[in-house]
Amino acid sequence: MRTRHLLLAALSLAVACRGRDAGSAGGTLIVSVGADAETLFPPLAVASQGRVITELLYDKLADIGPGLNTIGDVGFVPRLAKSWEWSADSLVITFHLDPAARWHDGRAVTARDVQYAFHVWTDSAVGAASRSWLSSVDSIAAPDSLTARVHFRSRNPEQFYSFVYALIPLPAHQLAAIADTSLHDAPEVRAPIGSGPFKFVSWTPRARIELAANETYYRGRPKLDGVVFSVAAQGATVAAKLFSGEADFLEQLSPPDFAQLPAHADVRAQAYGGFDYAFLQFNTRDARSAARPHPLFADVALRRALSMAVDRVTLVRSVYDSLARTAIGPFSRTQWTADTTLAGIGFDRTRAARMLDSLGWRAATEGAVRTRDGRRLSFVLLAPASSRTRQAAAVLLQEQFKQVGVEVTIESVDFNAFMVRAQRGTFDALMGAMRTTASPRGVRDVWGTPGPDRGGSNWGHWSNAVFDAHVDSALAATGTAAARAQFRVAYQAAIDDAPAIWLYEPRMFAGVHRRVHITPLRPDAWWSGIAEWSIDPAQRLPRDRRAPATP
Amino acid sequence: MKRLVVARLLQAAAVIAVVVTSVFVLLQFAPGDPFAASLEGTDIPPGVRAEWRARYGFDLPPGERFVRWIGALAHGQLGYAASQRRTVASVLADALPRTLLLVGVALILGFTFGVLAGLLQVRHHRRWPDRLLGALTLGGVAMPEFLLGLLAMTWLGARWRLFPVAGLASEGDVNAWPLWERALDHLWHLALPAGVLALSVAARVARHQRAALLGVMQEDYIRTARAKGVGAWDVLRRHALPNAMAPVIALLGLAMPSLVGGAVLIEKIFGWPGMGLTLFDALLARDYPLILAATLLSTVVVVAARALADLLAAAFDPRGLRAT
Repeated sequence: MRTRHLLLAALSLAVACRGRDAGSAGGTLIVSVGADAETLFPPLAVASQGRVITELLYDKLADIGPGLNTIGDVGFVPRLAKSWEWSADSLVITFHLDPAARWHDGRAVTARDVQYAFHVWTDSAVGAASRSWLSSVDSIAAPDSLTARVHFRSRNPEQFYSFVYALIPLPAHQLAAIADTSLHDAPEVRAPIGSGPFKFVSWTPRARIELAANETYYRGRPKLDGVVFSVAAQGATVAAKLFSGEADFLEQLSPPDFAQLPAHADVRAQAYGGFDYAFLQFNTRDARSAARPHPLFADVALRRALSMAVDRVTLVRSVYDSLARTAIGPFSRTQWTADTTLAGIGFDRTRAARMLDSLGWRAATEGAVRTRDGRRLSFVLLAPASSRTRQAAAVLLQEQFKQVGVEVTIESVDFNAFMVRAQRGTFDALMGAMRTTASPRGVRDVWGTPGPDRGGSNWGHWSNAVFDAHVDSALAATGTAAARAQFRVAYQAAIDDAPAIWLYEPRMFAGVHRRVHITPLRPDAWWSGIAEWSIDPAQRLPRDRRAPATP
Repeated sequence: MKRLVVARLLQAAAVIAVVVTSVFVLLQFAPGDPFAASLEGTDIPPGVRAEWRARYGFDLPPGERFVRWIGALAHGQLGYAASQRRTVASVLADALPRTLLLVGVALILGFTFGVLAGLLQVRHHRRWPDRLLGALTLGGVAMPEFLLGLLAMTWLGARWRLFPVAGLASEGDVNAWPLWERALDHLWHLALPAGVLALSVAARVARHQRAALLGVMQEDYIRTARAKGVGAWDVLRRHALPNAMAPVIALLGLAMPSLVGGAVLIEKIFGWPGMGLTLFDALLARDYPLILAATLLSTVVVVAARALADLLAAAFDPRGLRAT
């Protein structure tokens, strides 16, 4: 009898929940964005906007879990692959596709689509950005239509993450007939057929991209009827659309946007973890000739003295108020390898001045620029004009350096020129910022000794054998505890050697209209739970009433 | 008249050639390409970047790129916009009509209100309407369009919600709306950007119109008309205005470059994806085929408008034609 009552209660609850879901489904989410997608073709989507939309259109085989672990498959949740299994030697992973998974045109997602995607990603004619992530994959076999067997050449702790993140199954039945060299601008990739929770509806370049709920999505229909990415061309307009009620969501509120929040009761800020950190990077090689050491910054003692002269707490408060934290080292606190117990170079202006004295950099009078052998302690700080926060931080740094007799000239250039100068190494120091990912391996590319397999983005040419060795060991470790221990040593080496002054990590706050109910925002992908977002039926607007048209 | 047309066409061709070549040369001093700016924070191997550059010809020497572009242009091809991953022709086909609409509406509104304001000022010469409009038009000329745009967006859009902040159309299922409703919605979204541009045009036209009318009002035939008992408004409208139009029409030709230039900032502020915004984004991305084509097209529009204004002015006042 008791069991019957429990069953009835469970059934009633299920019906109630179902009824509530059905009632709350609907509404169109308007996302205000500052840039258009450059492409909707996953292998070529590298900028954030393209990635957001392609990940709503296309499902991966599996997705990272809330813990953001990237080692092994711990925490990963099934998507197109219902399950997977490893071979004993970890060189083969067999993915079993969900038989319910369908492309938006109704065709079944098959192992051939996984094979075709592998072909596209690894063909240099296509130029997939994340091709190197698949370098350890040898081949993919398809014993049957729902089984994809991935053969690896070598094992590494992140092989599962690399594979499922780099390779998104593509509809072979739609794209295989197109030559690989033409895929980048084929009409089919501008009106994609995906496998994800939302279907493509329309794309008005530089204006809007409209997606509609996939009614037959194999994991259940999204609660929203549609999502529109509304493109505004500049920062102030992006936020103004949210505050005027024309948009429902904004990925990141800037400090000036925050100041406007009290005047707009219908908008709230939603905090989530960020993967960004900013720094002042020293060039250890001469800006005129990379073959020569930099006349100033090749000296680690000088770099340390300059680090010590910077009051980062005041700087961060001045630029961001409470919307950022001081950075610790070459990582973000959101990464699983983050270590907040590392010993940094603390602010001590008096000691910094003494260190500069001891290095022979002396000021003739108080407040004068220090000199040594007739050379002034002076350098040019390159900053991107597009970043208001980095510009502001550069000015504050200039003032702080001046107080210890160091002359800084700020050179403000547009972002494209900034990136070219950074990549060519034609700078003394620059205001850099890095967006990391859940995986810590990017640190090898950004701070590792420049070489064929690392250091591609190490613009300052800093080189430290201890750092390199321990990062390599950490990335080879199969357990998170062992990896963390190795990363700790590597990070400490980077902090001690001061290739950069670690400045700040912005806290991420999304702007959300109160009518929208959202799930917790994942730091690496705020959009990951968007299929579960809903709009309060009582607060729907005329623009919500009709469902977006289907193609 | 025929000689004037031929002379204007030759001038126009020379101006276009000089402008496009100068823009290409100047671009060479700005480092970068469409693939440099989007790479911060991503671990794209240098080899992949090189592949992309090679695919779109960004690895070629500047001279060769320019010659190729000119060669393609001679065959009616404007090239490929790598920053938007589509042909330049399709980018411009989207953008040009939007800018023509924006500038056209701004021009019509600005011209109409400018002429009316000038008339009103002269009708009430040295009285409060003249002084008030004089101060307003001076402010309109002095205030930069981008500042006016930002103020309009902040107050009329975000704060008071009277107009849309940005974009071409309302969000939601706009495609299902009736055509007239979509057209009205489009015009509603045009109100702020076109209004801001029109204010600037109106201010300049009003000041020129007032000065030209005041000059004409000193003429003998005006005195004669008044002596015959023609009313003040009729004197202004029927006798003075037609003779004071030539300098205002000439002004429109002169105003076209600044109007097109102003549209760049206005389109940026109001997210109006026309030629201005396209050119702005292309410049940031160093997408030279798109920059050159957009410059070429903008120059053609400006030169054509200037030539048209010259011809109209000549038609209004044949004395200028004889002088030419």
